Amino acid sequence: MNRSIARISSALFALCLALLCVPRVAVAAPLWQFAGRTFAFTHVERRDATLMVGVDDPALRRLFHALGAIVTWKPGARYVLIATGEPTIVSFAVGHRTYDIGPLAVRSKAAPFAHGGEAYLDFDALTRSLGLRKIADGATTILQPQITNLDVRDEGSGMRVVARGAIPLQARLVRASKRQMTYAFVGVGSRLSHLRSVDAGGLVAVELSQVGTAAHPTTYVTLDLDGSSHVAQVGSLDGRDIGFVIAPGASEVVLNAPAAPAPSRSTATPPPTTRVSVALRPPPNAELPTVSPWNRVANEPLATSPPVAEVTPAPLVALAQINAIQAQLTTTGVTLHVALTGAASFDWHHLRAPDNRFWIDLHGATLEPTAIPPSTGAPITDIRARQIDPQTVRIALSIAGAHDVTVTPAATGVDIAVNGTLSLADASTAGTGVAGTGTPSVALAAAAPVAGGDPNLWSVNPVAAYVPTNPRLIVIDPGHGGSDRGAVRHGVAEAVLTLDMAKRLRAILEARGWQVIMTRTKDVDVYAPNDTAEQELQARDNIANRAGARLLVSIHANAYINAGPNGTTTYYAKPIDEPLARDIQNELAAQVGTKNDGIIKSHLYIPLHAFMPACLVETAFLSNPDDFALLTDPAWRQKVAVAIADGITDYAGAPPPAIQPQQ
Amino acid sequence: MSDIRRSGHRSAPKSRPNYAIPIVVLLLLAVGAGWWFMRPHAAAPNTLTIYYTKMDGTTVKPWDVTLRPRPAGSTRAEWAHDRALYAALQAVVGPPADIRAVRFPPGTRVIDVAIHGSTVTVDLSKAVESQPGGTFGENAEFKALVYSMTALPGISAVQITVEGQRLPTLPGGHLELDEPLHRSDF
Repeated sequence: MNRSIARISSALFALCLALLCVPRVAVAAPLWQFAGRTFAFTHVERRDATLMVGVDDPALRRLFHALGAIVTWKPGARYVLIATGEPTIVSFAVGHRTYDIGPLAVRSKAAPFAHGGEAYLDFDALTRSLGLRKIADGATTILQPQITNLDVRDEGSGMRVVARGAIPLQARLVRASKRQMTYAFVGVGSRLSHLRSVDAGGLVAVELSQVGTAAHPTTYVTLDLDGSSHVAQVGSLDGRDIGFVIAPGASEVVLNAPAAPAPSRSTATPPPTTRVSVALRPPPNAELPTVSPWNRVANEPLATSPPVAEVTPAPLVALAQINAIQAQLTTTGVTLHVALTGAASFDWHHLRAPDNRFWIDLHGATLEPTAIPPSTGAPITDIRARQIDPQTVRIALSIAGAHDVTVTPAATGVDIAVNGTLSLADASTAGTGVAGTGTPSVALAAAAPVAGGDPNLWSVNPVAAYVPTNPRLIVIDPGHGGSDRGAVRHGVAEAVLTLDMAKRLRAILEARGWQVIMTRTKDVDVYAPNDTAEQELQARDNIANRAGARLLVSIHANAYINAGPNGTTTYYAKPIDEPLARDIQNELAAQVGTKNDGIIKSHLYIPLHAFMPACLVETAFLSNPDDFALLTDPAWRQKVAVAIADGITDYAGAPPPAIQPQQ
Repeated sequence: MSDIRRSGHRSAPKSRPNYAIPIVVLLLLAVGAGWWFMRPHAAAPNTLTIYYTKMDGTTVKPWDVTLRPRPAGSTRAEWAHDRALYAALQAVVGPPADIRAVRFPPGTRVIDVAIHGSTVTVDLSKAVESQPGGTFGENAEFKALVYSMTALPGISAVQITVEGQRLPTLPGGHLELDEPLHRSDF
């Protein structure tokens, strides 16, 4: 009996012990609170009493989203890379306790590990790297966002104080006197030092103090001044930071980034008090033609002759047209048949591993854009075809691995056969031939090794010696238009400003004897409403290319996410563009009174796909208050038109004399 | 030198090789020293040079970042991928916040990178299309990215894709992105 009582007692004791121990063994789902929201992580593990959270945890993903942080990781990867909102890159390496917060190397309690296709990170390390402070509050833990950085910088003319934090910061002025300005940062705490002495540029010190509860903190930032300086809050550079400028003495604070970041072009909502009406009138001394054959459908062939006969028109050469590129799978790979309507000579190049690229230039040919197939089949991974100059089409292939390529001229074009089996040959090759002559076998030069690859294989060929078929003709492209408004600030659209400046430029050039075509003369799309950017830009280039113009000038207005950048820049792409860009920029710099940002080479579509010298003038920044005032002033836009016209004169001289059409 | 050699020849013709050997040794030392000082700087394998574009919209400036530690057992290709991914991420996020730089639109994410020969493909998220208008940002952002990626050994071209798709140009369009970009494009 006693023995059975003892057994029952032991069993009960063991049961109680087990029940007591259960909560300690299971991993409880911890509750966390951030910005008034509760997060319960479910992908949790423990390593040596350290909480590890999986990067795919839905609650953690929501937290990342709330902080503006982005995680880059996929199963099998060796690093978990996090771009924080601040912005900083945090890198965790699987299996290593050391992790990096920007330039700072830190050790975590437990190394990240991969488990079940997911990476688990030390949550303490994670919160620290994200600028969050953990504060226990009963059953939950509050994740309090911190002001992580308070940068005080002497900028010569005054001091600049910039605050950054785990979340986008907002500051409110709560107290102002000659000696102190206090700003409240609601919703963030701070563990930065409470007092920082500066004693420079009118700023004596910066004080920080935190009030409120753990869940609803407020941090006061007080700027101690020397009594004669002025403070201005200068908005944000990227929407997350808050900046102040302290100007010593009685002088007024000069703001070089005064506005909050402007939203993207399509969503700009002007504050009602700053709306500016723009008068878009033609210059008083110029009568603007109302009819132009070029203002509507850019892709139409030139049906009507320009009003003045061309000087020394270039002889018309009958070009073969590539009207189809057909891919046919064969037993050994894939063969492309490039169908030509006439004869064209060609040369081809094949780069071996690791590049594995092939390209063929067909000379005396034009490309029908619909001829390009979207895909061909293995081992060709990519096909591109492009008119690289008025008489040459380049077809380029990316090939998966080192394969043999055979080029054979055919009666109606040229065949390119890519062998499906890997080739052991390691030399690059090249060859030439003539295709589409009507006879299937035309002399084909033996393939010859080439020394190296063209690093700019995929780039459009610069036309070194462009000969305009109409040297009197200048094409002006007013940027954007119709469904594409371009940059929009305070209700003013780039599309409207560029059209106005282009019309003024046309009037001046015509008065100087040039023949002028505008890619659009109204606020319309050149190709079609809501078309793709490529269709729209190519349509503008087509107008100039098909007309054989002397040069092409595209007129734009610049913009950026903050009000800082300003000035005038002329962009170019090809070597033959540079002298034109330089001459136009020099005149703009001399005449229009904006900051001279010089000429900049870039990979811009419009000049790149224009056969003739072309450039893109960014007249001024809509996003900068000073530049905005200029752009909305008709007199200033007239100055721009005159300067561009003078630049064209500097570059091209006087227009060649018109020749009357022969009877 | 020639005087010495001549006088040596007159007084002790058989000792001439004794001058030749030190001269050869000195020459070798000079060549070696020249190579040592002129050799290309071998960057530490986990230090990467990233570029950002200054607020003038065109001047690129380098800064160094470190990806560490190199996980044991990763292949050369894996390590090259990790470095390229880190470089792309750093270039898109930009330099430390206190440096004035032209930055990609907030929220722009590097989805992945892939290396094919001398071309690296950088796949960006849709947020990159939220450009503020104008050429300024597009040019400066992609110039920095191209300079950063082509600072990697063996990489000379950068193909941009947006969520896996090649784009001729961003909406609104200034910069052509259809083809791989090179440093010489800027």
